[in-house]
Amino acid sequence: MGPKKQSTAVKRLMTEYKQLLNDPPEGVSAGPISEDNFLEWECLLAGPPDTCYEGGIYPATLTFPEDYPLNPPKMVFNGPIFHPNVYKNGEVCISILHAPGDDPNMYETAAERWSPIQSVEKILVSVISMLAEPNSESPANIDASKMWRDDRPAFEQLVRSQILASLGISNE
Amino acid sequence: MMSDTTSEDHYEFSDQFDDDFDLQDPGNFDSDNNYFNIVNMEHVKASERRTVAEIADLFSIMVPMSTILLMAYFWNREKLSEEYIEGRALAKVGLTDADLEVQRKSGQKVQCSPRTCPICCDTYTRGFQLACKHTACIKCYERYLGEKLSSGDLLSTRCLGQHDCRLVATLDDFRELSKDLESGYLEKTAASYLQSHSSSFKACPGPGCTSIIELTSSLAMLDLDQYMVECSCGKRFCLGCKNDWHLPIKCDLASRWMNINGERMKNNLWLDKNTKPCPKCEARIERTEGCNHMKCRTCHFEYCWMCMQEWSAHNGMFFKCVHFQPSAEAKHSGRATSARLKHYSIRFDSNIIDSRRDVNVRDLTFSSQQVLNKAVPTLSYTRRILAWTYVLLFYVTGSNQKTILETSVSDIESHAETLAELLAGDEQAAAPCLELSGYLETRVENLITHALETNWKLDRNSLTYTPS
Repeated sequence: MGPKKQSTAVKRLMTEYKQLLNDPPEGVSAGPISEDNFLEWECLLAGPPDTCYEGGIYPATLTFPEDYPLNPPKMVFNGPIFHPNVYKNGEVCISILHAPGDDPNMYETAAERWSPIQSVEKILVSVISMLAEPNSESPANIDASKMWRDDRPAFEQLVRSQILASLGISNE
Repeated sequence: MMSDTTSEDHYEFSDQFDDDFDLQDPGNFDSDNNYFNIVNMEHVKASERRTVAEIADLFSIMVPMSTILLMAYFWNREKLSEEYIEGRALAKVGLTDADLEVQRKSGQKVQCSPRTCPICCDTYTRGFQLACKHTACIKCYERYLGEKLSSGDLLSTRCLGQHDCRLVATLDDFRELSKDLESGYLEKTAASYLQSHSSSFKACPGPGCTSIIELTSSLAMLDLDQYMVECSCGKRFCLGCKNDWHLPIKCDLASRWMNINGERMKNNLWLDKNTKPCPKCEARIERTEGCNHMKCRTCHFEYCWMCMQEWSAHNGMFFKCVHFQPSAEAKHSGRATSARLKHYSIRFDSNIIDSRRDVNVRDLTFSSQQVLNKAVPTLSYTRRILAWTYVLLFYVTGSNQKTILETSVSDIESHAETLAELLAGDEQAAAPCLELSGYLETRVENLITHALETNWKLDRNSLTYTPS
């Protein structure tokens, strides 16, 4: 570390990183990409068991703002993932990643929004449960949302073939 | 309608009184009628406090909690009361009945043995806690609540001590922390009250002016887009759109005109590029992220960002916008419209410029107060009306009504020219000046009535013109 004074964001993220190493939640691992920049994290999420995402390993990037933890990080999946709450560019859209008031459905569930007492761990746990239970009320990917509602078998088929492709196994 | 030309006198007179509450502008109204008052922020705050106290009384809750609930319901007392009785109101701010009991007490600063703050991870001895007694360091609380104030979000100021605690920092907690936070909080609640009552309060858009036009209930019910007021700061604006006066045309045409005529483009470039007005209340909304399902913070209207229509209209297609089509405006243009636009905008601009210049004539040659007080404002007002009548002429399609309007315009314009010449001449002409301005007043009044009461057929080409 250089002579620069550590910012609140970095100090807090170092503490969170330590906690995550000691006691990681089921199915995730996460940490800064480089020791020089604590505001950029890489994570790996395992698709939750008993869902069509099971068996998939999903890499994602967390980007923290300078004023973390006042404001939440952004989370983007790095590979393809077909899900109602993930934009086609990989950006995750769930309530805990929204500052309260940022969101068209504000205050309906104020307690689930971002607040400084939330943490990376809470975010990752929420994303895992988002994979298990998509929220079609606020879709980020309209096609996925529609297929998930109208044609569940086709939806699951598509997700599975994405997983196979990511593992280098052809579905044909 | 047009008693405007005498408003200058009234203002000099009423400025002698300090009591803003009773200022009454004759403007476009009969001076006998109490259509509106010019008030200040203190007046709005007093009105806000009464509302908060009523709700606090009604449900035997504390004033700070009453404020939070009212803000969550956009100051809609009826809806709040209804849902409070049904037991749904607290959930809206993420609280339970038990939390409400705890929240009766305010938070406090605490001195403690060194411990680690859950937010910044620094060691602290001076902490703060809400009534739940979960502690975080005082600096983090100050920073967090300061940030909440600047983002205007007072409904999710949650406990920083424990992640599953639902308690919300209220006015009492802001007050415990510091004087600045308390006064910031009061400013924000007043602003929220003002915004939610935008049908009865109109903040004056004049530069640096803090006055607010309070409409009486009878006026708040009317179609505001033909009511123009003059604030005590001298700013004249339209009650409907808060832009400059645009009689005899209505806000929608005036705003289209401002767009294509470039004025508004210059002033509001960022707004136009980055925001869209809520289709219901016209509050400017910037969508930074999220889906197309939008909910206006000001009026609660739910709509689709793509087609700007009500969200419920999308049920059938499940989050796929069926209404959106490329703007019709992009398809049309054409040289003919361009030439017409030029024709009318030259006339519009020159009348606006003259109307501003005429007001300055007063310090030139005339010594007769009567002429200064009557003829000069009349001439300036006439030019303004003419300018906006040209806009109307640009937008409406050929008809007898349009011909009648054109005839009036050319008559009024030639008489206005004569008056301008007289005013620039010698002061022997006082009597003809007064006579001419009397004539203009009548003609202009008729023109406004005609323009406002006619059901115009709009010209499709003018409406769809887009500057390249």
